[in-house]
Amino acid sequence: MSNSQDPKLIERCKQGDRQALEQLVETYERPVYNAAYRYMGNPDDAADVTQAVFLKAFEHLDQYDPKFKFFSWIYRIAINESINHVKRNRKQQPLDEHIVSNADSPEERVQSENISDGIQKALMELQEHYRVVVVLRHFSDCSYQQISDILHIPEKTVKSRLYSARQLMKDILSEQGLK
Amino acid sequence: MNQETNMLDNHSIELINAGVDGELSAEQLEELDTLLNSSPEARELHGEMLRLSNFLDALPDLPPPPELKHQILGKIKMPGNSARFSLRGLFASFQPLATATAFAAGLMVAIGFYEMAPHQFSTGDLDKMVGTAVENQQAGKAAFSGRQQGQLVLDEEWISGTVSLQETKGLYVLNFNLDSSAGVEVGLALNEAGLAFAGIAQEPGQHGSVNEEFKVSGGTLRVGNQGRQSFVIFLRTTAQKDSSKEINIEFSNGEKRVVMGLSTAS
Repeated sequence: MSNSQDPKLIERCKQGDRQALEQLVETYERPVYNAAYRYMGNPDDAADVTQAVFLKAFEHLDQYDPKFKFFSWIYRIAINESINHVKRNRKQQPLDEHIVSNADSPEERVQSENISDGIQKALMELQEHYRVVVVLRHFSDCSYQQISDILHIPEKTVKSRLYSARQLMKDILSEQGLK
Repeated sequence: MNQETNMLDNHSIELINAGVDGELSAEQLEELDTLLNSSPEARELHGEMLRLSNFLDALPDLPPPPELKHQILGKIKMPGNSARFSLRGLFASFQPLATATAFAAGLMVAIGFYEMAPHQFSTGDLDKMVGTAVENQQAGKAAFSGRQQGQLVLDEEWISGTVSLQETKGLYVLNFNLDSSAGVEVGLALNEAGLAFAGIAQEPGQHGSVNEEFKVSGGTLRVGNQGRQSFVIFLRTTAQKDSSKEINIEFSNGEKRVVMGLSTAS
């Protein structure tokens, strides 16, 4: 995803234009929230992280390098915030609770519970470096190049991690009887 | 990983995955077609990856909580606008005098009625404040014993109204009461007048908000105005202040421009 208006909006934001800020939040709130939700598997955590992402992004807007796409920058913040959030929570609660807490997610009310819950559980069983590429590829619609930019890893590594992540997910889903 | 998959070389595996992700060129797509037509293992892996990919892509996009956007926007402080707070708290601190809450809308329209006790009011209190002036219907007029310095009257087709200047204890108060048919930018050359921005306040209950549309940059304060608006700008003197400087105020709608001056000399 990319928005050609971003550079102008960011410049206006730096000048204190609140309308520009609203437009940027409007554009990126949902994708950031979804990436955070898929990474962490909990809507409340995703909301907390989304808020933290925007606060951090706009607090450090002067550090944003316009040579790079804004969405890459904000996704990188989102991924880092999600990783840190999970690390902090891991000290307080076992991973199982994290997965179980997903049982009340709004998504389940409209989708097949078995499949979507199974996929989210499989995602949560992946190691973080595998999970993040799946989230960016499938829930944020990022290309290999964009994932490479966001995570600061070579494109080749993106491909191999994505392949390994899918193989692992396939095995986990098979064990769950979903194939 | 299936045993069959292991028989595929890395290039074939990469080709299959890139094909599932839609990352292949036309030439590579042909190569993938050829591979799929010739290798059952490749077809099996391709089918598995495609199925999983479709599962993942089919998961719905979740709507964020409706209040999240407002929570985010409410917490972000804009550059040059960081000291946002209501004047309500500030003026409440001037208790016990009734004058503390008397910075009323009526005052802002009727220029020159400030009678606030000067000993309770300093430039430090107003440093970069932003807010809405407190309304007090009983008080009617505010108490602020400033000295009237001068008044401008605007009577153009595109903008009309008055601007007055008052001074008390080194603090200058510019009181704008404007009516503009379209968007107008008001610019104040602060550096030239030996002044610095200390705060802005708007009459409560007005449409739009000058608080959202002001900017201080390069010694110039710019405020957006549209329609009927009353607002007050607080300025403090700087070390370089010359007692006989003039505050130049520019009004511009993009096409037309008026520049007027108010002297800070007593």
